[in-house]
Amino acid sequence: MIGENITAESVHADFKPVEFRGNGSEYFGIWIVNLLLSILTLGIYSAWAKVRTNQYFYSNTLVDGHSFGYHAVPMQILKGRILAIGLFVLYNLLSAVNPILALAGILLFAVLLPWIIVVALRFRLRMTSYRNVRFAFRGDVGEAFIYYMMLPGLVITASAMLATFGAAIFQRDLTAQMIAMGLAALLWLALFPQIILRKDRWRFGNIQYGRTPLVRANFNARPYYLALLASGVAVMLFIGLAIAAVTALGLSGGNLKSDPTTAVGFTVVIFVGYMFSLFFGITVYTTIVRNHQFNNLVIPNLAKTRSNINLWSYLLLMMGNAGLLLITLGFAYPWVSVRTVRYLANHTQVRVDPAIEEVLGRTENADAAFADEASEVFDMDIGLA
Amino acid sequence: MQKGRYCFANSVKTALVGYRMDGADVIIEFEHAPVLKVPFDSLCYSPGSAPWLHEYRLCDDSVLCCYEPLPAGRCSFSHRLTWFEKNRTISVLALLCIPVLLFLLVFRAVPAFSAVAANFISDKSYQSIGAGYLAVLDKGLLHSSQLSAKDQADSTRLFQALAGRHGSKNVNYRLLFRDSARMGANALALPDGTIVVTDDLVSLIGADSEPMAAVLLHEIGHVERKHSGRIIVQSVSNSYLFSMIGGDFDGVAEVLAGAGSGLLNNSFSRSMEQEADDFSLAGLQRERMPPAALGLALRKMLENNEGKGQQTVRLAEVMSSHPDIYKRIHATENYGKPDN
Repeated sequence: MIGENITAESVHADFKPVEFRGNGSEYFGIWIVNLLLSILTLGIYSAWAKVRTNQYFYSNTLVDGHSFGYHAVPMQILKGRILAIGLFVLYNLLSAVNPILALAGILLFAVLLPWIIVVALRFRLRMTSYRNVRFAFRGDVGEAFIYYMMLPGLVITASAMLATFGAAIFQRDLTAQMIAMGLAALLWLALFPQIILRKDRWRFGNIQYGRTPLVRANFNARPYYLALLASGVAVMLFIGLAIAAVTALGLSGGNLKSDPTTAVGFTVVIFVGYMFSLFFGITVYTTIVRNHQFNNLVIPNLAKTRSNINLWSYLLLMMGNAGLLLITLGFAYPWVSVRTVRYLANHTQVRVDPAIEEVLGRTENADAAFADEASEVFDMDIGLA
Repeated sequence: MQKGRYCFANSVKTALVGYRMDGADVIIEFEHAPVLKVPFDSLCYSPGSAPWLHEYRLCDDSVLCCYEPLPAGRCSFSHRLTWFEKNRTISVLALLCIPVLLFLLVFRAVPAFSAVAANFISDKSYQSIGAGYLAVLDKGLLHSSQLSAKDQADSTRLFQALAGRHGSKNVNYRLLFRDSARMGANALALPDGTIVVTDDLVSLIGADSEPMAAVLLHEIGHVERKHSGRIIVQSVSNSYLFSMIGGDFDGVAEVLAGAGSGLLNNSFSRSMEQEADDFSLAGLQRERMPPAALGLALRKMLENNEGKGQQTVRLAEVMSSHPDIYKRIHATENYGKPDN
């Protein structure tokens, strides 16, 4: 018994916190020059800005006394960014001119999605190094198709079919229709966390550091269900708030159309409620899922990670960040970014084994930056931290 | 000879080295290996993890870490950038300049560019956009008109007269009538010169009245000023700028930037409504009709929509795509007066 305790403590003692050495005022200098030059060059400089920003954050994040490196070249980013934004602008133009063509564009994008995800992850990891050894991503497009298109598509189709058939069969029975809708929602709730779990296992489990074996992502389903449930509670809170606001409005005899003061008050209450539930939902989800992921990531015989984000302190940080951004009209962004990264670093620990001294990397060709840029421009969630 | 650290390519191994410049080359001297000579121009610079550290990446992915920047690199682009980023005076100046530059870019340059660019959109494109939108509206929002043939004929006659006198000859103006419970008493202009008025509007203000003329002139104003084309160009330009300049925002900042973008679009929409009102008022004057006819139409539409006569508060106006209706009515009543 005593021996077990000693072992547990000694293992725990091996974990060292990730250190973030950046500070807000230092990053402010980089950010403000980035912003100024991006405006003056009508966005061309943004490629250099991205490299400077990533280099700053990567090189100031230290594990076991060594920093990470970011190696993308600005011209590489610029070409990818111009191509991705060109497509985005074309899509906006098509939406305005011909919605049917825009729909065709969305379908084409959906077909290309798995390829974009894989190439973007390859580029992002290939451009990242630790102790001058690069990371790599080994997942393939077929797997990306399964996790990002096929499985979600099947679950959504099955849920929609259940709801539609329910409505068609029980045309005159509202209760039966509601039950069919409830079952469709339950089917979605039961299967969706499983899809996200498999997607995350695939994303993390295909990361490779140098020539070491692939990362082991020993994730299980329970935290994903818990995170979805907790996020659902946040949405319910918001809906409850909206109902309460409408009820209060009705009781006070207010009229949104004729009374602008009431309309503004109502809008502000709904907006604040929406923002709070959004933060709460994101924070709860991030806390539960990230802690689980980082507590179950292993590079065999080389490293292991831990995460202990606290829900309330993280929520407080997020709310504080939103307040800071609102008060300063966005100019506190550098401090907000640094505060967030420092918080995440302070709540992450890594145990690095001595075997790291023998790790070798490999020379590989880098993918083009287009897919990485496209994933950012079209707001795709492929982040790993 | 300066002291530094050399990180071997594809390896965590490092070695203490000495380095110096030799003309345009960098000489790296190892303790137990041959001297390495690399052209300075082939090195890729990045500031290191600490303020005193400077990293130079070699072509083979090895890295030379120096505590002082290499003399030949002091004037390079990266070094200049680092100097800019660390200079507090430049930060303060940039902080002062950025709001002004953003204002000029978003509220002056983009609208001016849109006004010019909208003229380069071909008539065929405007016809295609108009036909596309009408098809979408007819499928969802609009239904066949229930108005009498006489009301339709009266309004059409008035419209043709106004379009002939105030509209461009190259625009194929036509007036359509539709029933729409969701739109209520309203009118809208499509970029190809199609104006749609709802049955409720005709019933409310009369088929052949001065207020109807004012509303039709307002809609003709939207077509003449090419507002649809300008909205398309502005929206695409703003998408480009937000992606390129604010593309690296994430998390909370992204949500707030999205809200800002929506408010910006509303601001453009308000200024276009104002332009259409001005077009209508000038047209009414040329038709020898009272400018207050527009105000009367707006007031009737407001009363029809259950308005009870309170001023819009400032925040509500900012969030709306149309200017405060009371200000618009007030402007029509005072149109042409010396102090207006």
